[in-house]
Amino acid sequence: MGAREAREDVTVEVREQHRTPLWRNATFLKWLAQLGVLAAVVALFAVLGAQALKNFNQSGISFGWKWLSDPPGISIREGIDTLPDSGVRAIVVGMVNTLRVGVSGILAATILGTLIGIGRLSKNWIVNKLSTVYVESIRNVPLLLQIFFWQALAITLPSLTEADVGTYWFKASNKGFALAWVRTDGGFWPWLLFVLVGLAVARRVFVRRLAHMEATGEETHPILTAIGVVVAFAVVGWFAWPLLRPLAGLWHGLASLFRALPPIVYPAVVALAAVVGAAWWIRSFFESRRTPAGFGKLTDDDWFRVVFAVVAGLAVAAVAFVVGGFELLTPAGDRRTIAELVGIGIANVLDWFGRAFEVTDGTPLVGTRPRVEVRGAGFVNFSTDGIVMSVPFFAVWTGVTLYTASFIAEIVRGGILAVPKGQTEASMALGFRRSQYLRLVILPQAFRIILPPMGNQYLNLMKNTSLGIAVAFPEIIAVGTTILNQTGQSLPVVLVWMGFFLSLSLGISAIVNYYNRKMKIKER
Amino acid sequence: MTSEPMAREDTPQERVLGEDIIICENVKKWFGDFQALKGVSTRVREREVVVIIGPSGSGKSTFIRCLNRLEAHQEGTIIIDGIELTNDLKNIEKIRSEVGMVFQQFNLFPHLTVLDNITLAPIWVRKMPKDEAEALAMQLLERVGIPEQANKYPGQLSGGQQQRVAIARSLAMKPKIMLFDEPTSALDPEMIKEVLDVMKELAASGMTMLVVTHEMGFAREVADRVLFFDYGTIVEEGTPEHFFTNPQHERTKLFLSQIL
Repeated sequence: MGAREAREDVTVEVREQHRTPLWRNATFLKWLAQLGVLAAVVALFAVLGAQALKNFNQSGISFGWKWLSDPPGISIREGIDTLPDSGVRAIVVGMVNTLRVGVSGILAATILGTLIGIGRLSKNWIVNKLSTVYVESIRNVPLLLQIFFWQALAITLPSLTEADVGTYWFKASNKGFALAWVRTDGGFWPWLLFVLVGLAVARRVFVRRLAHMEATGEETHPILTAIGVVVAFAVVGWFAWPLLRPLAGLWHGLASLFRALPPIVYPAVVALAAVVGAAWWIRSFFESRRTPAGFGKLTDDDWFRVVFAVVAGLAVAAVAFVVGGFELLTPAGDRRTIAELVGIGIANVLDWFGRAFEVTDGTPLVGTRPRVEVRGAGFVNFSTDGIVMSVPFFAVWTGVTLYTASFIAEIVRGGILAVPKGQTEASMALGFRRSQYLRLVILPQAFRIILPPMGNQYLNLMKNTSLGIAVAFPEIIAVGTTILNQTGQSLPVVLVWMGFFLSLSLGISAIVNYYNRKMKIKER
Repeated sequence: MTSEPMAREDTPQERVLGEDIIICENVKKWFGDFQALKGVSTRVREREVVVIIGPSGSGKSTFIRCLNRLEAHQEGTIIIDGIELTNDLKNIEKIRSEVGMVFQQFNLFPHLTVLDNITLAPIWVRKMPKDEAEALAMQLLERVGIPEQANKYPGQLSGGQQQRVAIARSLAMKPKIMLFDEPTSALDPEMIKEVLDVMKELAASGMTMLVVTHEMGFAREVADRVLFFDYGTIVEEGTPEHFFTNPQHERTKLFLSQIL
């Protein structure tokens, strides 16, 4: 009756009077804000950059990248190369040292932290209290202090004297900890190829065996079979690796192919990847907005993302060509563009593989034992045999590993506690054994909760390795600082540091996010 | 959408009760100082449907949780299908695979699809081949009336549907006895019926059932026997008819007057 008519009246009224001014239009304002922020960011960087250039010009320091090719004139205490012949080489030594501590630290901290986290939930009183004491004491002391503590502890170990000269399986001293190890020898790379193929085959075998077991209930031992396949390939490869010698020609052929390619190809490939990537992203974005009824209405935010993807793709493509065209001075004294250098680099790596496959004698791996020897008058030290964990490495590695493990323990504990008790009860009522329901029900759910904060801890550990500079561990910050002091090239060195840690962090984030998305529980 | 579970009109009297399958003698249980069970003795026969009622904190849930060792009783004897429940892990494993349980909060595994929820235990505990387990799961989903939900995740279902999946998951282990711990208490009123209908059908098919519930209609219609728990003991027991028309004990009368 009356209500219905009244509503129609109102609609008509609104229609007649409607005309929104621009400053009240939510759509317009939103676009203005988005583009405004983008413009402000670009402007800020432009202003800062211009100011920095002006300051540098006034101060008389000319920044550049020549120090990358110059001999740095420094020696590095430990690493893949102790007397690097170029700045790049020195930086790479530092990066490898950082990665050595970081990656092995992440592995060790994850294992230790998980064990302690489970220990804190243990019904065994002693295990429980010990774990609690560990977590509370370690995470409440500054990391730098802990690194100094481990260094001080290691330095109190006995020093090496002439009485110690000899060969050992393990030897601790104030020069570090030496351990028997294996090193690669002739035939390693062809043998590695055998092992990699074995891993790929083992993966297939594992998947098929598992499927067979699930389908028929027959016990097929998928893990044991897969390990057997890898071992078989490794053993066969150990003797058969010289047969791969003809592959050397293939590597050299590929190398000459890369040498023959015009350098423009490399930036073109990057640009193509950027454009195709942007197009692919936009396509999948539209797909994701598709409903059974057809394409849903795209919001302004959606359109902004599409515009941004197009701009970003084109920008990366343009930058690739610009950077590819930069000229650098090589150690040999000639000027080459970055695109040319990329091609030469790839070809060199391929040639190097080719030479590795041409080797005819040796065994892929050789065991070596640490040796203490006299080096010059009254100077006793480890030889290069075995593997020596130096005191600085030990201090940094132990420090970051134990410190991060205490946080990981809390994350693991929280993750397991966050799985409702009913899940355990339901599993027990169905007759699962403890090991079964932990693996099939509890851990898959706890893992989802644990993963994102775990990624944060990995990032922290990586960044914390830079404290190594305090105990003279030559990681990238320490090496960079030395170069910086010698050359005065502060800005380029800092840019290299930032680029390194940024790409490392983004890499870890990408891996964690990938798993996070993959493991997400569907709720609606 | 969901097809109605077939509620057969069998009356409880048509089921022929068998031998004693659950024997409890003087079962006692403490939580710290608090004694939750103060000597419970009862016997349940094969194919019997026993409904347990009582105020909250009376020990009724604790009692049925003792029957599959989710809680360990401290004194007395519990014998299930001829096997005594003790600390012997092998006996516990055996009994758990014969006794199914349905919980108030469903406790489905949220990271697995409905189908995987149902097949997980048959595959890993019973070592049943996967195709066979999946065929069984589909058959059970048919029985509880939601075969079309097989590939969804628990979080995508309504409470009533989740509880029906939980019942199917227990049945997949082909249990001899089913325990229900307040199966409808967490459900919206319009979903209670769909779960109760499944339980009625199950009772009619001859399953031995112990049901803790506040659904007096279900007790009246389906139960062979009603146990009234208070302060950790069975205060009164009898047929539903006796129970709802002629309760003897003062506490029973008070309880019934409050909830009916």
